[in-house]
Amino acid sequence: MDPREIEQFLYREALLLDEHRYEEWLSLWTDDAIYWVPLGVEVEDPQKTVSIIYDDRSKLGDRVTYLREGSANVQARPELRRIVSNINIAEDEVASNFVLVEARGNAQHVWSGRSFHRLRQEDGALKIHFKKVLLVNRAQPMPILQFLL
Amino acid sequence: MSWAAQLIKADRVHGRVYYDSAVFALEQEKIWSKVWVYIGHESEVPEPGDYVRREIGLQPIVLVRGRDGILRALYNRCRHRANLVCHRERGHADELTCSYHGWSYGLDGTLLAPTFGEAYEPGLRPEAFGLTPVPRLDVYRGLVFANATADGISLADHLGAARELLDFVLDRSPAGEVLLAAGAQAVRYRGNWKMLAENSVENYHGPFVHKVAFGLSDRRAGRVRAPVSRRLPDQEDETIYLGSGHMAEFLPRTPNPAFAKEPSTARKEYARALIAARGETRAQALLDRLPAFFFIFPNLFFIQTHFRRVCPLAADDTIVYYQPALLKDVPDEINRDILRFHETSFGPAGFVTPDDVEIMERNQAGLAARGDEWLFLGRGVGRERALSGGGMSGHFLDETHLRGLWQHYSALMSA
Repeated sequence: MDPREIEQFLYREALLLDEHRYEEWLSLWTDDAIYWVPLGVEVEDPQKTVSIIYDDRSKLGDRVTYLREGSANVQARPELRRIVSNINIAEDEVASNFVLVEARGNAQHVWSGRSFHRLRQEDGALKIHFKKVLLVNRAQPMPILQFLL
Repeated sequence: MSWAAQLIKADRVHGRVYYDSAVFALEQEKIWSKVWVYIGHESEVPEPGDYVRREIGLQPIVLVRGRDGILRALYNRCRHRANLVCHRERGHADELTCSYHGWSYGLDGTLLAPTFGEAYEPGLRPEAFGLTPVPRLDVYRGLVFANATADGISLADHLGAARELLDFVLDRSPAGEVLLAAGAQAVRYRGNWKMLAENSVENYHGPFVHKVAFGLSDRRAGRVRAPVSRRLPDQEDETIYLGSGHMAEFLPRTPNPAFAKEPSTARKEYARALIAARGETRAQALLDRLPAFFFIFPNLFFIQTHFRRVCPLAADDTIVYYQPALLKDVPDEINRDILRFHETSFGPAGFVTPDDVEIMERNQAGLAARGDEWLFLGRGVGRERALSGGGMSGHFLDETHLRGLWQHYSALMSA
């Protein structure tokens, strides 16, 4: 795959996430997708230990519904901007770092981590079939996570 | 009138119980240092040398399994200059060694020897400098509790009527055990620890705070929920005050969401094992019924998938751990379903927890308005009934159990 196409794909995904364009973001995923945010320093088998998020495509759809309607019921939507960088393209996986600033209520939170995308061409477009996000603070007590990484 | 009696009335509490740092400091002395506190589960430290860091109120402790297989709760404080002896959250060690000046302790807390020991007076006895044990530790079916006071009621007496509810949760495993070693999500929020106790067992907020989350879970389970107003006369669902500060919600007509799906091979296998272990009637109840949600005072809560451990840091600062309870001796699929159901509901990115956390933080912020400082807890005073054994039963949307909690709190704080 063309490295520039992959970079542009990651930047576009970041923009959709920052701007809460959930439906457009959802269309970037394949039907057999897994979206995984592990917990703890040592990443263990998600079938045996608890994760922060471990969604298949159907739960990802629920998550988007919840973020669009559910949390809006109680919460103000956070303002977000993220920088994606240090992109490393390997044969079957694209790794990248992010730094994300979230403004919610009267506080500003900084989140950071490394994302691992597995992409494939489907119907003439690049799609995500696996994404793992290793948060820097994944082993610490954290504030609520009411947006998409 | 006692100090606590001025802040806690039969149907209302004063805002100071949530924001006043002097109240928080007094709680350390009157509650956390006096009552049985949940500190962990046997499955977290299965082997000799396994340890986890925990706390009793603000006091750091370490829960460690000795070479003799015995669990001990030791204050996590070197007897030399008070450094944390264990600084990692969990681990495995042959001995516990302080990083500061190298004092080493056996897994039972015995001081092996001070380093460069020739400098100490010959009379220094290592046995006088062992890690200080927490005065009492007891285990209920794998759940480990500690008590910082040497005498007082037993753990069994403290748990009282809550034992039956715990049994229901644990009996769902054919082996009669849950496993709490699958990790724990942790959320830190800016609010008082007692808000978590109240919010966790209170149903009244559900239709407002969790409207969309409930809708998603109903849709997934193929269930239609009647509007709350039409459910009001239903007396099968209850909130219960169990005594000793413990509270429960019984929702016997709510199907167990973990079993809403068509039975798979694994589910049938699990059902067969459970019937063999518990008998037909009990097994059927364990399979069909949603276990009661219950809070065991002061820091343990069970709901659906997990045990929740509450750790107060300050009057307005709390950490909550969400620890999924997997079932021992069941097909992997059963536990996998528990994990997946858990993650979409609870923890920092679940569909339920974040809304509760946001609400609690806003509740704490609202307390700063001091025009009228009372929080009203009068819901359902006229329609509750006393239970034999000292408990109270109320309508499932009422605050009967919360009134019980506050009377217990008031008695402890006045003692």
